Amino acid sequence: MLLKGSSSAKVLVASTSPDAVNHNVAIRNALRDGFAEVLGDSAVRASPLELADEAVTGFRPSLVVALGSVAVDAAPLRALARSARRSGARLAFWLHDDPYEFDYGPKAEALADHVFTNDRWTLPHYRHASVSHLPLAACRRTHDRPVRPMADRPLDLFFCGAAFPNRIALLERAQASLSGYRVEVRGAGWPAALSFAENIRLAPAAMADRASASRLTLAIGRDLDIANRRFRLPGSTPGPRVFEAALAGAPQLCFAAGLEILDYFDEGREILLFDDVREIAEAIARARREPAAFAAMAERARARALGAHTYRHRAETILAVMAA
Amino acid sequence: MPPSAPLSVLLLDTEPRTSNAYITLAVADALRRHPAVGRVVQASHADAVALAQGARFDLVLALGGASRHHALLRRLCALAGTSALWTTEDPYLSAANARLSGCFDLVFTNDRGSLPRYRAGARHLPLAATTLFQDLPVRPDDADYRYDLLFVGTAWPNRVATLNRILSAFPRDLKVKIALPANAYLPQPVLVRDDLIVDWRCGNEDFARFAQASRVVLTLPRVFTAGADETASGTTPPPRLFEVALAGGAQLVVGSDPETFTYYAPDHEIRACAEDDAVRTIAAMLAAPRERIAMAERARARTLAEHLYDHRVDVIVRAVIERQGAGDPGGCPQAALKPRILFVAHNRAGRRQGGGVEFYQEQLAGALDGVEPLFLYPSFEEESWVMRLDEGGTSDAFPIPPAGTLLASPEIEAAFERILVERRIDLVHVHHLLGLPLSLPAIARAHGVPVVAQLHDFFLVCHRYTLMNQHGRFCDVVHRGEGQCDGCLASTGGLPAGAKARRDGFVARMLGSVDAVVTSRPATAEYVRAFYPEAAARVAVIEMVDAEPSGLPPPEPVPSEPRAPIARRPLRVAVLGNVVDHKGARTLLELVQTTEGEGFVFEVFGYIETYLVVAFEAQAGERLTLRGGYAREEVPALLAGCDVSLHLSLWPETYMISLTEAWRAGLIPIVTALGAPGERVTEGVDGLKVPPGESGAVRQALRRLSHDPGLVATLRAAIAHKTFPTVAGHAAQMTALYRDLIAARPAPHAAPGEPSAPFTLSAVDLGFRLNHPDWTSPAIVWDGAEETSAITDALPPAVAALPERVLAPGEPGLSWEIADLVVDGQRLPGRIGAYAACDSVALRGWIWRPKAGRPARTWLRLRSESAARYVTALPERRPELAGRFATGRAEQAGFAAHLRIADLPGGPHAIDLLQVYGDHVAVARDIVHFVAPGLPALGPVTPWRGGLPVPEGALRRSAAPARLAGHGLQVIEGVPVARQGGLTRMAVAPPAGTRRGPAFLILEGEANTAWTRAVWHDEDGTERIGAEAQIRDIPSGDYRLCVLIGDEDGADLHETGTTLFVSPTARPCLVTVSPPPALRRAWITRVRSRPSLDAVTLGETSPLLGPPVTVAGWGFTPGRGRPLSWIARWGAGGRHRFMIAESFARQDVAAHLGESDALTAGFEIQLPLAALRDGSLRVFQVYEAGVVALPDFPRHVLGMIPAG
Repeated sequence: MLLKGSSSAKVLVASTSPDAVNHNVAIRNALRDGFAEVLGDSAVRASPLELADEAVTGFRPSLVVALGSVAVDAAPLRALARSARRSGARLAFWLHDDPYEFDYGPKAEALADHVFTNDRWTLPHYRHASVSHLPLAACRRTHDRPVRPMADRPLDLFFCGAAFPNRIALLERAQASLSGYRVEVRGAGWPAALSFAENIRLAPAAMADRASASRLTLAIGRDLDIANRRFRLPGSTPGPRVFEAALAGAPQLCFAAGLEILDYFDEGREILLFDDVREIAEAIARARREPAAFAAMAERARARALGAHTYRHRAETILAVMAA
Repeated sequence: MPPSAPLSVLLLDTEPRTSNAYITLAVADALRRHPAVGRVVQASHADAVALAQGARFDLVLALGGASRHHALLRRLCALAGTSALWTTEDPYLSAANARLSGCFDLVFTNDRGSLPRYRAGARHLPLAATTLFQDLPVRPDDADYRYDLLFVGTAWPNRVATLNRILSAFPRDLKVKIALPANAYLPQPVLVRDDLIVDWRCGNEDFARFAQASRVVLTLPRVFTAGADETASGTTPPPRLFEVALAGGAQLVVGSDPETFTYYAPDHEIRACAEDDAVRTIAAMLAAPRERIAMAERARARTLAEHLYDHRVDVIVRAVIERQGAGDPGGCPQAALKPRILFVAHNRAGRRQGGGVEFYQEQLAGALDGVEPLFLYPSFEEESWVMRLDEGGTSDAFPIPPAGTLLASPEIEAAFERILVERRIDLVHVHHLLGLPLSLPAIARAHGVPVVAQLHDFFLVCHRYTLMNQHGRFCDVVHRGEGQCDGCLASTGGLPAGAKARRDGFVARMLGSVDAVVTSRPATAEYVRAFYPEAAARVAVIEMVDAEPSGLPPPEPVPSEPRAPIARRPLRVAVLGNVVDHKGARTLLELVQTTEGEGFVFEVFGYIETYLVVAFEAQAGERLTLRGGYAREEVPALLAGCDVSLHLSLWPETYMISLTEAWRAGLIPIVTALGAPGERVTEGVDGLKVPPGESGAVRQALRRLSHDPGLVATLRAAIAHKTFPTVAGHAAQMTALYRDLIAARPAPHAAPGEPSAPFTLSAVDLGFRLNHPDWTSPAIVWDGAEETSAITDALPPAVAALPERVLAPGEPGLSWEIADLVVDGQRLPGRIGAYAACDSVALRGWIWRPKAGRPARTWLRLRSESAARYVTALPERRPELAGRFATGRAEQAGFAAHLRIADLPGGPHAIDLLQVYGDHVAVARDIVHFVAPGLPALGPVTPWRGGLPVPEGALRRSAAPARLAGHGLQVIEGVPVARQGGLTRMAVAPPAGTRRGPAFLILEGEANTAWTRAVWHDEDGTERIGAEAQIRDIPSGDYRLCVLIGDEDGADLHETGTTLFVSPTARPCLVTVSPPPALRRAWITRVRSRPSLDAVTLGETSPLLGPPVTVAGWGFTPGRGRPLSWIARWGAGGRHRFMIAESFARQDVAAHLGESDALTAGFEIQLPLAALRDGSLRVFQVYEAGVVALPDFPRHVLGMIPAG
């Protein structure tokens, strides 16, 4: 582990698409904070893509981490790479929409010194000589909440996310068995037929608040491809929400579309998995019956997230890989 | 096996778009570990041939198949020491693979059953397991398993049926993990356990983990045929068998081929059973954990010992070494003696009005020695674009879409690939890509054909290729950055922000496909490379030539006496070339206006652009002569009396031939200090330089020349000694470049008569995924969005304004067909009447009109009672039509569309096909009919199941009626009809005041009952109970629709008063006891003509019809309008039954008869065999103008039924 201020590294975290179309500015700031925890505030900057050239020129970083999606062809990524080259900085791309946008990956591969992908199953499919896996994470500043007593939690089940078809189908199947429970689904694109869903985008901190106010938080992965026609890769690494909800002290029930999640959290001790919709209602009933066990599970998951899955940990990994 | 030297291997997955890319990774991994292999390169379609040209590989291993991009594979084979094909998709593609595998030295098929299809010497090599992704230990403790049963596989209907049998047999607490990914061409899987979540996918590594965590891993066969020529099922098991074994899974293989047991011993290493025995075998495996776990251990050990890719790769490597030992190292392609060079440009001299590039292209082609030039260029002919290929005296045209702003176009790329291959092109020389997709060099690169790009302007940097900005000034984009581009393009072309960045990003990647950049001056190449630092192409400076050697008289000898001093007479100033803004027209105009009385006379040789004519003519007179256009050979004579030439371009010209011409005539040039002219002229030595756009500076230069005879003499003397490149010298340099590039990377050509496969290589296959193929479009097209066409309310105004021309179905030469129709995931026969669609309709077909050009666009018009909506149909290649209509043009007659029903109003819809031409829209009406539901889906898709959801004792029949509030079914004679396999979308209004409880829809028939889970829905205070349920294996017949609502004590059954009919097949029809209105008349005309029967088949006995006969064909009696439906009647006296089926479209019949009304002459009906035999069957055909009886129909059908 690096000691704060002991490295001469200067890091610029830049987005990979203009902020006008970038829904993940919060992750850029979270990663900046993660680097700041390792290197100190003065050694880190964050910049939108459209101002990255000026940022590189003014800040003269030794490492530029381009974070995000490279789906937008109009994004001036070549200009970012030119700036980095001109200032002698190394350029790493951390692509956080794999595998759903994998077909656009070659654009980053052509410019990057190193590519980090958020998805482990996507990793071996890259052709770049220097690629590694780096899951997204949780932000201490935004998501960290003490585990709230189960008795104080007004919700039985909470889910926050975009209404991808697989998620809609799952909740439609579950709907009948959830009547009588206090269920809250938030996000964008939910159909009116799901009575507990509302199309409200929650800010990251608000999401953490609601997760912390629910006996159980649901995790359902994404299955919606933007540009994944070449290999039709299914995702394998859990999305950031699993780490974020863990840090928010939420007991989680995760749909098992893969078992890689067990590399990050222990089943039963830190999270629960489910395979059919009956298990959702059963888990809620259990959470009501055994509040202490669920609170303990949330505590262990939060400790695990704090110990291994914040952006500070990811920043450390990036620095180690880029120094190698 | 002692190899002499480690092998180098190039590995290519032959399928650029595949869900099984991990197999290639596994094979590469095994190759890297093999002791006889020293180097493994995993190639892509973009670079495989170029890599094989750059370094000879001992083995080129093509993994997948031989048919996809076969021409590219054939080139690879020719470049390999040894080429090997290892198929992965046999038997499904074995016919094509066998036909096209002749170019490989070694052939391995993944399926033993397919081996006889291949030539002698081919071998069987099954796929295998990989330690890269599947190496997991068996879990020794039965308590450690997460699942009892695992199945992951595509939702083929036979698998869904087997799973339902298994799930029905076990209690619900069986811990099951099932993934059944479906696709648009498969019915949505409906399981009896509707709590299971089955629509998920996982990667192979996750699959291995699931297998390790499951007590029983189930393998089910897949029953599927890709084409008529393909074998239905293989003998060798798929790789999953080996993968599960390596992952420590205990396997049960249902319906396995005996070959499976050559890999694993039955009962010892795996379990296998027939489908009927699956339940018992699963139960036995679960009941005996110790034996099962030991079995999994043995299977894993066997896999590690025999069934890894390491073992398979060893077989291939040994075969390669054996072949090397036999002294057959493969050939090495030689460069062609007379290389064939494809010139690509935006035009060709003699086609459209052209300029210097067109002239130069011809000049160069004429001067090149020892090469064969071909010319490729876009051309606008008869209101549409074609890509024209000229070779010698012949010219071929390929219809293309307008491509002025396209980065990529699959159809142009495919045509280009075909030209490269079939015309045996050795090198592509790109003069210009205006009017063609910018991707073409990448296609050439993929085929290993070297590419030369000549920089005649700055088109690669900006489509405003003179680099003039919105203010009419040179945009020095390299030095000022791209920040101003959006504003310029918005202002000059109305383009959206980001357009230039999209184009630049693509060109930067495409330039990797260019081998050499030819430029007249180094500065031009330096400028382009400064803009694209990624470009690594070699730069060849070959100075441009004027017309000197080919037709001009020899240059005048340098006069021994100096010309008379200029001061004694007016200075004659020549302006050579067309007069246009970017050539400095405004500077010239200012100059003329501001030099009156100074003794300068201006002579303009060239056309004046229309918008400048008035301004120049106003100044014309003694001081300004407008000479108009000229031929190149006239130049020396025209310039003979002149002293000075002006070259006032505002953009950095890449050479400027007129400067050479002026020097050659002994004139003193004044040039702008910009680009190549500024570089070629040395100030005060062989000319003078002025800043661009400054008429005052030009005036000063003229004054100096006018008043400084010494300067004039010095300049003239230096100019007189200048030498200029000759065309012959230029051509020789170019030829040398061609030969260098071709020698470095000769592209092997196919031998005559070698089998070929369709040309389909596209930029997408080369890894160029784009937001949109048109760089001026801001759209980002997603994976899903491309598959479903957007429905719009109106055609674009330009199309809507065109007159419609309705194509009569019987029009000579017209031919169309719906070849493929998929409704809600269920594939229906293309020849079908109206049908209900709840979710989606995907249709693919073709329309061919031999005398029509290629339409600019094709639309579908969806006509309902209330409105017409429109959806774009995408073009689709249909190679089979080329043979059918004896012209390659017919290949482009295909179209495809995929539409979401949710975007449409409810009710019947007819689909018309609209082809848009320059002056009209051609309309083929009524190609398909369907019914949209008009109410949204109320819940997920569930199955209709036999029986009742509650015990009979708990069911209370309620007198309070419910009411059918809406449905999406087709209606025949007033009766809603559901087809087998179709979805029934229904909403029922419960009786007022009903308390909410678990709800079900019930179908009550005479002998059968069915139920499906329903959901409550509240919309604006109105309560509904609805379901989206699939009919499968529900006996045909009439059913009363009821709703069942449960409470703590039981369930209330409410009748809706609606009866619906479930038809016996996927074709909707109605069987009823009520005489249809068409037959309620005293007299029905009898027609003696017999329908034409295409097929008569016997079916399975059903309660409704007994043994049925299915009869398909067509029948038409002229003079009665269009046929609408067919009615069969059987039974005696007052116990008649009537079968009513709609007619459907048979355009081929209409064309055959030359009768438009015959369009709907088609039919397919099921008849009871007993009624046919007992003579009680009568058949009627209903027309727009009445009904006719067909008394001979039954006898005709009976005559075609086999005896017994």
